[in-house]
Amino acid sequence: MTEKLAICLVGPKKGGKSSLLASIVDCVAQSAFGYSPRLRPALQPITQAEFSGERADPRRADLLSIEEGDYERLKQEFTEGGVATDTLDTYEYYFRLSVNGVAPPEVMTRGPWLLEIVDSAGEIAVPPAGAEVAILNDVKAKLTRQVLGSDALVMVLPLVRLEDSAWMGALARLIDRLALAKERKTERVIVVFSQYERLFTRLGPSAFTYACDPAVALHVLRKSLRTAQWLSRLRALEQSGVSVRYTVCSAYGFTKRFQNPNMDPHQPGERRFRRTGLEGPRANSEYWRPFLTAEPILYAALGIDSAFTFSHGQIDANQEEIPPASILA
Amino acid sequence: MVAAAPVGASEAILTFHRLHYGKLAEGAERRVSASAGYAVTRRSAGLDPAWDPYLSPLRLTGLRRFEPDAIDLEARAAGCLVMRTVGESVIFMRARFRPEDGERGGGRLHQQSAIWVGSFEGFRRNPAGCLSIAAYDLRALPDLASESEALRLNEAPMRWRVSRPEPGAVRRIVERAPWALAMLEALLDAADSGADACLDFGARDFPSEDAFLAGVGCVLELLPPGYPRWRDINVVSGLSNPLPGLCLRYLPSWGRARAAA
Repeated sequence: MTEKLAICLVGPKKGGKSSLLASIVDCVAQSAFGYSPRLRPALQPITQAEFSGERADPRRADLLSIEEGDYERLKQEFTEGGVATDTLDTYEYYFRLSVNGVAPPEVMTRGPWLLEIVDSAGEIAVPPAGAEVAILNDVKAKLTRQVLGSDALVMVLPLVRLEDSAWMGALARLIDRLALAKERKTERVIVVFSQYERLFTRLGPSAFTYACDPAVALHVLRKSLRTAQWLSRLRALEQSGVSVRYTVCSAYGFTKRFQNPNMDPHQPGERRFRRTGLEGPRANSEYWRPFLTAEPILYAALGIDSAFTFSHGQIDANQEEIPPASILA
Repeated sequence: MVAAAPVGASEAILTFHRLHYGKLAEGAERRVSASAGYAVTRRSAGLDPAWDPYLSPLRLTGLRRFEPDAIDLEARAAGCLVMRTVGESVIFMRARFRPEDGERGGGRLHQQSAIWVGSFEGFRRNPAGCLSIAAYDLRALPDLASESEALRLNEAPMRWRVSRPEPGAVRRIVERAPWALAMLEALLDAADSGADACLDFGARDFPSEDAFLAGVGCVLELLPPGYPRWRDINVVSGLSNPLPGLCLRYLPSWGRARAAA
């Protein structure tokens, strides 16, 4: 059996939606997530035609061909520093997710999963106060349809002082309207705080060790959510049957071998570390290990908690119960 | 929507409305501030927002996604240029991707487009003049946040006085230029066949985009007003994908690729 799922990424501009998306395949491939390694998920980008079932029987010539699709271009742009997603349209990416290891039978029988993940400019769904969406209002209508029709919503928020952000009001309004929408299909909402590696820049080679502790992530989430007024609105959404989870992630991640946050201060803009003189795909992947970016997508699709997905109950608990060890350790 | 007013026997006033899509910037390097998002940052008074869907860079480039690799590598600094006809209007667009941390920066890129809307009749009567103005004045520069929003979003349309080139001089240029024959043949063949066609030129044909646009202007000056496919003519520079219709395209790296092949 194959299950089709639609997942919408929403959040303010510069929040890291496209970066998260660009890193999920590598994150799953490197098992850089908080799920048990026995789950053995596999995620691969596919074309819209494959998602729609139009190419169920691919031609032989396609077997060994390498197609540079939208996702490969997104990954390339991410490697080169990123491109701000425009407001001219919303952009769909397609994936096949399978679980090849141990998972509850009710999960296994649903798979494999064909995922449609919708990326869009932050200005559309969560505009800064006073801003207007440029050029096409029908893009707003399209994104509204996609949000309401999605099985899961992933809210990507940059790990900043939330009370200072100009998009706070818009985010609260979005959650309110989602809660009130009768035609909503959403079953899961995952709030993911991006740019997690930035908290550990002073820790050097110890950064990865601390980041891998779920108790640290829970502490960071509690602290970040303390002033978030929209938290109560998400609690209300949960009352209407939507599962809400919180997690953290980092698309840049932490360097392999050296374990420090993977942002090279000597490069212009925001670039990952790479060895000087080395070119090609290896140069971009030699040190790159994204951190937990697959978490929100795997939870959105499978509905299984990891060591780094936290419910309201866990956020609220005085003495949190954390799994004894993260698989990332 | 905007008329080209005749001034003398060979002169006209061309009027263009303009719209800028992109981000507001600050300072000499035009850095984008953290709070700036995509917006229409400049709009001529009288350019109805109902036109906006026709002015989307996606629609003008014919692309599902407008990404940096849609622009020829050697045209990425200035951006691609597209000229096409929509209804009774001619639309010029310059679009590029530039770093948010300024012209010499190396950070995240954002899209910046400058779009002009003028009269199709004005273009048909003055193709060389229109293409020359676009070549020299159409720049995809972000507007400055320091400029008043009221002024930016309500500015007067731009006006240029243009002279038609002397027909004898145009004919002499066209007769001597190797590229001119190819353009004229393609235009005339397309008039007969009614089929779409794309004619590519590269750095071996023209040293720069300016020279290409000047060349196209000369050839179009020779087309009679009754040419049946005027509205199908697209002039494109630096855009990797050809446009439907009769597409005259300049790709700076194309000549080099052809030479290497």
